[in-house]
Amino acid sequence: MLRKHLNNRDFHSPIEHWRIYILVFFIILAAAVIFIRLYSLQVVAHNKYLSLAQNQHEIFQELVPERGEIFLKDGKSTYPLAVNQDLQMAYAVPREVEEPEKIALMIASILDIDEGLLKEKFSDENDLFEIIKHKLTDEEISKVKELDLPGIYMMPEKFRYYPAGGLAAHIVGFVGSDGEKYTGRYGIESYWEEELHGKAGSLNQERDTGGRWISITDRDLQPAQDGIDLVLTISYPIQYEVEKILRETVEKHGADDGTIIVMEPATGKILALANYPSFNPNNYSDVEDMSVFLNPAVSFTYECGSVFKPVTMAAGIDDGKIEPDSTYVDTGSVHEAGYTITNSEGKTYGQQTMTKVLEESINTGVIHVEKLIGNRKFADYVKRFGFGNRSGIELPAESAGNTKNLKELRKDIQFFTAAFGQGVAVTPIQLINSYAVIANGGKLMKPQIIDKIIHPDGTEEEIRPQEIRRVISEEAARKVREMLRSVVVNGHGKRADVPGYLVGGKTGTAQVAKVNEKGYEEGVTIGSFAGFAPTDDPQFAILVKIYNPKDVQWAESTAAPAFSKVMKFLLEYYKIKPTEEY
Amino acid sequence: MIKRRIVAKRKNFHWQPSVHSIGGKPARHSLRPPATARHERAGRQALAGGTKIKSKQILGSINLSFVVVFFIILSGIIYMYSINNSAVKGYKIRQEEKEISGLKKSNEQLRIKEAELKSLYHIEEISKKLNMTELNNISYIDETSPVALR
Repeated sequence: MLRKHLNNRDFHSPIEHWRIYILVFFIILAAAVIFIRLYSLQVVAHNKYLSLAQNQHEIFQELVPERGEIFLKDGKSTYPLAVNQDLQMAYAVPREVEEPEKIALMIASILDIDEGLLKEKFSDENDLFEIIKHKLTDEEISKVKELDLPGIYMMPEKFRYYPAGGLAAHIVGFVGSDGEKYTGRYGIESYWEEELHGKAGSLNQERDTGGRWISITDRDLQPAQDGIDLVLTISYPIQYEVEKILRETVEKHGADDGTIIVMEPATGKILALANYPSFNPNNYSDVEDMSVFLNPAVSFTYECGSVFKPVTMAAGIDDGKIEPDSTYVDTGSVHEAGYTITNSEGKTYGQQTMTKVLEESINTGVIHVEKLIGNRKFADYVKRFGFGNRSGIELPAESAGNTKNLKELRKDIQFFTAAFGQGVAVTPIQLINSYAVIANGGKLMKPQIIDKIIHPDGTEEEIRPQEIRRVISEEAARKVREMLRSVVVNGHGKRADVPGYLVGGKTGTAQVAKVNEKGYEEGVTIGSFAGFAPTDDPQFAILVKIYNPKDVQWAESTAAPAFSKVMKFLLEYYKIKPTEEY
Repeated sequence: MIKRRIVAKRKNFHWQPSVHSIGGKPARHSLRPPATARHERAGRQALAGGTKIKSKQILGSINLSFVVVFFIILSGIIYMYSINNSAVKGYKIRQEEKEISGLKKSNEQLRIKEAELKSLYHIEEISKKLNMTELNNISYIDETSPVALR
């Protein structure tokens, strides 16, 4: 019976072994799953788990370099314009916060935050991180520490701090977040971002179970390289005074905005550069109109008007076509290509010298000079004075201006208008630099704003003034300086004078071109005054630009008095002895 | 039943537990002299001849092993000491670094405070509170005159 049964089993068909087959199948399946899983863990996700394992017993830390600082000159020492500040940030781990409502109430009263907002932040039990407040004060820190609340912590964070507040804001810019990291935005902070930021380093070292680094094991240290420090050519007291004068002037005349630039003609160093309205880089996020961040001194282009006339006159004298006492007869207008160009206020002056042309700011006089020079040569002089090209100042978003009209040599009308500053768009920095050429004996210098670089190892690198080219002869420059002195004594620039000193300069009241259409805005003007002192040995060149003053029309009432105030301060601050009787 | 006791001879005081014979035969091992006695005999033989060589060999082997053990222990101690020392130094460095960092931070705060106090905005504000007036006219003294020279 048993044999029979065995025999029956031996001859079972394969279908009858289904249990075994299923078992084998599942074993193979399990083996395959394990194999695939192992492959996935050890090969595909190798790097991930390697780094996880390393993270458990190693510390890898990116070493953040110290951002370089920015200084202003303050006599023989310096004043910190942008520094780094260690502050504390309060944050919460909501899942650790017991009694969220009670804690929210306590924190809200200490840190002066909305209680409801805190309750909302603490409400998510799975949340691991919520920022409560940045930049805690010492008092807030001690109060939070005293309470020792569960789930409430503090951590250090570095901030850029500007001790002088809004001073020189357009020059320095600020450090802000671009969404991912904090970088320099606008100004020097942006232009010198890479050099100021430095290079990040790293530290890789084993740690113990408590997370502390083990001092006796090897560590892979790549030290961070700190950023460079910059000392600007800007003088702190001058910048402060210039900003004050500009603010007063703009507010007094109800103007839209204004710009003042002070330059040392012999070196091209910028001693002050101010724009109003401005902003406080410590609270840059409070600014509603982003355009206020732009630096109009280098990025704003405008048709500067009569303040351009000395450039035409300098070109004529240098080219040997005129002398200060050369004469011509003014008929009150010039007709060209269907256009009629008249003098300001429609006046006719008759026979006039070139000096008188500048004193009275006669449009037809400079057209006469331009005709004598010729279009090609005039365009070349304009270019050599630095117009139509970026000056090279180390500030971001500098505009090159627009001198396209001077490319079409056959269109005389465009050269005629350019001779008195219309039809060519210039930037304030280009304009002051062209006056510095006249003040500096005919040499064009690169506007310089960085005086010194201090490297992380303490070595100092002085930045030398850079001569770009000679534009006019020394003799021609001297003659134009004398003519400009005459403008201040006898012409429209009287209010720019400083008693006891030889001050020279020229006013310019320009119309504002319409955007996207021909013609000029009705009733909108830009008043400028550019000049230097003392005219026999110029130490300072200054440009004042006041945009759209409401109470007065002419620059001699807006820009010229502001120029005088700034120049008076400079001459007294540098203890320059008066040479004239007063 | 035979009861036999081996007693100490001469200077060899060696105690053997009492051995009881089974079935009148003495236990075999009880007839062997004790190990200490064998060693003494070997010692006497050594005294009779070749004493110097043997003693040297013994002394040499003791010294070598002693030196090896000594150096192992010594190097262990030195290793432990150096590890401990470097750990302590590492801790001290960490403390010093913390102190430097703290001093730097406080120096930085003082520098910022100084800059804020030196700020011309601040000075102007203070000067107004002190009823100081702005200087409008500057008189220059001629340095060639007798007054200026005094």
